Amino acid sequence: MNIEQVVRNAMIAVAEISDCKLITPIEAQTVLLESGLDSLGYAMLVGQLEEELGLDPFTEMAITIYPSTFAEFVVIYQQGYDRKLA
Amino acid sequence: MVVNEGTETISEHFFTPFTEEYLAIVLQWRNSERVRMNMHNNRPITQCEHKKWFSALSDDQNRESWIYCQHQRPVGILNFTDVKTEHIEWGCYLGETDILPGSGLILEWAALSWASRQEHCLTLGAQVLSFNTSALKLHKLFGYEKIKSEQGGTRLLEESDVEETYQVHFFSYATEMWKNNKLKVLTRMPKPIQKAIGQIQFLYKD
Repeated sequence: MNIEQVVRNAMIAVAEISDCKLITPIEAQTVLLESGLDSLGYAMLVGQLEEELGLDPFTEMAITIYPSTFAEFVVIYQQGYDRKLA
Repeated sequence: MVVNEGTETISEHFFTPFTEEYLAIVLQWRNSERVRMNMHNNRPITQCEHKKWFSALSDDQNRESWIYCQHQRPVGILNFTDVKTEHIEWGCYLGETDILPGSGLILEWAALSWASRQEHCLTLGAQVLSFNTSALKLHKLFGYEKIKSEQGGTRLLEESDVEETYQVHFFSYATEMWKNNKLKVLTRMPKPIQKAIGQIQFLYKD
C-alpha cells in the first residue's frame, strides 16, 4: 500500500469536508499547519486515516516528537503500518 | 515550587505559569507570521516591547497566562484577562508546528476547563477576527454563542494584494453550560485528542 498516496487522498477528502483550502503542491517539506488544513482538519485527518488504515499511531505508538512536515507525518504512518503488518 | 493539581506525575499535556524563562520563546512565537496574522495588532514586536508587556502582565492580578507544554516542551500559550471578574476573556495560539495533530482543540478544551473551575466565573468570552476561520470553526464545534460582531480594521489578506476590511466576532460560553456540554463535545473529538484532554493538568505555583 502506498501510504503517502493514502495520506494525500485523505487530506483532500478532509479539506473538502472541513471547508479548508489545501495549498498546492503539498511537498515533502510542507509544514502541515501551513498546508491549508487547520487544527480541526488536522484532527479529522487522523480520524480519517484510522478508518482507512485501521491505525492511529498517535494513540497506539509512544510518539514524543510530533511531525511538523508532510514527510514526517507520512513516516509516522508508514512506521505504524509496517508495525501493524509485522 | 510547582505542584500538581490532581496527580503527582507530570502529564504529557500540561500548562505551567508563564514565567521569565519562557520570555524568549514567546517573543519568537508572537513574531512568527502565522501567529501575527491572527492578532489585532499584526506588526512585529521588539524585545523591549515584549519585556514591557510581560512586566505589565506579571503585575496585573487580573490577567493570567499559561504555557502549554507537550512532553515537557513549550508549544503554545493560553491568555486570560479579567480573571477576577465573572466574565473572563481568553485567547491562545500555538507557537510550534511539530505538535500533536489537532492541538488547537486541546487549547479550546483547556480554556473552558480552567474557566469553569473558577468559582466566580459565569462566562468565558473570546474575540476572533473574521478571517481566522480555524478559530471560528473550533468555537462553533465547542458550542460558543456568538454575541455580536463589530467592524475591525483593514488587513492585507492571504492571496490578495489589496487591503480588505474584516470584522471582530465576539463569543461567549456560560460555564454552567460547559459543564453540561463537555461530555457531548468530548465524544466528537478524535481519539488522540480525547486521550490528550484526559491528561491536561494545570501546574500551580505553591
